[in-house]
Amino acid sequence: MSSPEKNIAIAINKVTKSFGDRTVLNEFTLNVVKGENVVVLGRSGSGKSVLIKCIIGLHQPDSGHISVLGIDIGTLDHPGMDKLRARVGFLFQSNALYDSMTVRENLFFPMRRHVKDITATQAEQKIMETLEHVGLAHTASMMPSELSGGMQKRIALARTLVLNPEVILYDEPTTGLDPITAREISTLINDTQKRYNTTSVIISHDMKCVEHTADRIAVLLNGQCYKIDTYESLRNSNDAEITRFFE
Amino acid sequence: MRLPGQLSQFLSESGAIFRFALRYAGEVFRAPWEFREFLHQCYEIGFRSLGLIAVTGFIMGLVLTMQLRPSMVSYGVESQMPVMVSLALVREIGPVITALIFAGKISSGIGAELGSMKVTEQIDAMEVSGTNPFKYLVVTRILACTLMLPILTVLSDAISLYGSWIGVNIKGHTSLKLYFFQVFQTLRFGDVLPATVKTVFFGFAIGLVGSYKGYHSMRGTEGVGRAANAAVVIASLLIFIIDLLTVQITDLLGLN
Repeated sequence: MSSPEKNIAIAINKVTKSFGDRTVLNEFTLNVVKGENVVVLGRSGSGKSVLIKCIIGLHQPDSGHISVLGIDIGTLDHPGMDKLRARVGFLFQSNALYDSMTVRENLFFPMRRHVKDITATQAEQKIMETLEHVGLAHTASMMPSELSGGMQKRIALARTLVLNPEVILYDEPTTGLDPITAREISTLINDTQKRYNTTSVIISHDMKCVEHTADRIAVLLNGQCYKIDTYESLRNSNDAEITRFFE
Repeated sequence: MRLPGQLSQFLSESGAIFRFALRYAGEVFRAPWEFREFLHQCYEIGFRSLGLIAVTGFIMGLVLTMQLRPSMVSYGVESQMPVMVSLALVREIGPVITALIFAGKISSGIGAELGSMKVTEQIDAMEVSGTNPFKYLVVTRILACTLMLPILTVLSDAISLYGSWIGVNIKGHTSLKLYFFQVFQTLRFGDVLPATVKTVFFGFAIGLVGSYKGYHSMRGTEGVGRAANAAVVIASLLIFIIDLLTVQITDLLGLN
């Protein structure tokens, strides 16, 4: 049987992050177990996006430690961070697709650096396989601007999947989508977890998405992890700070 | 002592651009190199500017000759037209005007392109995919500007001289061979080399400022517009400052 530490995919320990006088994260602590989907729930501007940007190294915490897949990211140099990032996917709220590249080129872009000894045929095969997983194999030659918001979200997910990441960080994956497309994206997140055996941290305040995807929910309040539990437990809670998310 | 607000901002901005240039110097010689993207930028920045540079260069040579002609005729030195025009074009007007046009087209383009990539998180997306965005986006563009502008300037000079020959022939007759024979008899190594070398610095400044402004763009689409605008203004100003310094240096070296 593996030790509890080995089962932790992401360990966030007393992380504090401020912007000027405003403290966004205040000794935030959270452990994410391998293979689970943890949703971070919080109000707009509560620091959810800052949290996952700290996990991927886009923001540096003022204090505290973050370990991803057993590696303390504070100790990594730039090449070390790049290697770790190949194992961690990040889905941006805005999708952040490269608008001067086709869908195929968008998916190939992360492979250039991280996938060695691969032929053009193998790369194409991998790209098409990943596009098929998100149901958009026919869009390979299209530009991002030709796709709808939901399709762009799927392509952005495909771009993170092309490197077979062990961890995926989702920044508000259903924001701005209609309810049907939002539901499809939530289903896709669950399918991805099953097929690729990923660990996920999902930032959201879309309660439908939260209910559909969360194994556990961490409530972010005043910069701290106020409560962490399952959807059902939190839904049945009498705590006013929790119940207002479910109203 | 507290510096006035605008002076403090100017010094802070200058320092930031200088640090950006140092980062470029640190990254440009370090692997991995983005050779494919560099070639793509040479095509976008260099080849795609060729038409504009050629047209403006032709008009510049033609107009300069037509404007100079009456004065040259009144002094009775009409035959010295190729000497006068070639020196003016190759030493000063060609490099500066070409650089200003290049700055207007390229610096604003880079500022807007990188600015929009910044505000739509595409630069962050590159970073999290393990690609160094500074190397991929900034180094390739600055290097392409640095190498392409001297080539474009030489081409512009040649086309300007051709335009000048046409200008001479509007009210007179001189063969193309004779015209260019006089031009090449006039021009010395000391005329061509400093003028070409300074375009390397012009190109570097244009790429640097455009990339800096775009890479540090903020506040959404408004910020992108501001980045593109500021890139052209600062790059144009830098062209004149570099030109002034070059003249001083070539003067000290006895090349003027």
